[in-house]
Amino acid sequence: MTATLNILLLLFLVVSAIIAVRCRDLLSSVIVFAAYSLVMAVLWQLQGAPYPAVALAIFGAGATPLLLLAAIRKTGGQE
Amino acid sequence: MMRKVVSLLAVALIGAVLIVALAKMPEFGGGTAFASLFLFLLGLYVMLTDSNLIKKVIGLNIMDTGIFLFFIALGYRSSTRGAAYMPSPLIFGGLAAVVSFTAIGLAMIVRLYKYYGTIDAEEIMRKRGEDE
Repeated sequence: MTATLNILLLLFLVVSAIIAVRCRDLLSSVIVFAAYSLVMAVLWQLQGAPYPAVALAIFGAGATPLLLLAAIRKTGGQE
Repeated sequence: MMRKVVSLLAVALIGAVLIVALAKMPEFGGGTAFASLFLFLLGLYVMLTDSNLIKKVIGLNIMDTGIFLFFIALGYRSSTRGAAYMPSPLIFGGLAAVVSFTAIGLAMIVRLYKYYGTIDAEEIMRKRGEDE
């Protein structure tokens, strides 16, 4: 059960990383990156590292997309 | 175009070296190591080739979460085998460093946009060349 969940989460990570990198629209790219960070935090929790998982859920899915959104808003989005 | 080919070659070389190193590690195999290796290489390739500066920052974040995934999976593997290896403080330090680096980089990108009017690295280089 845990092994299957592990493989599913890893597949989601790889696919969402490719989408976040390849997407033309910067806004959707940032949103996919936030989902990627959250799933990565769940995976770390499963791997027995709860404190880094909570820190990543705060930083990766909270602070970094906020900073990216502010920067996109100030620079006028996609060129 | 030339830069893309050279970057792809460099990333492929680093990936081959890391796959050989992973295959030589006795305790460690399985999907997690290869997924984290793939994430690291993907982030590195984006940082090298993509000309959008914000995409470069996203690539940096993907690259470092791949590295941390490798560390945590390594600690999990060795802890189930009786060894005491706890990488949590290391991961905390890395996360704080990467978030502050992202903040400073984005502030620099906003300043560049105010000065040059674009966030495309190639275009900024061209405009710099015209100025001088």
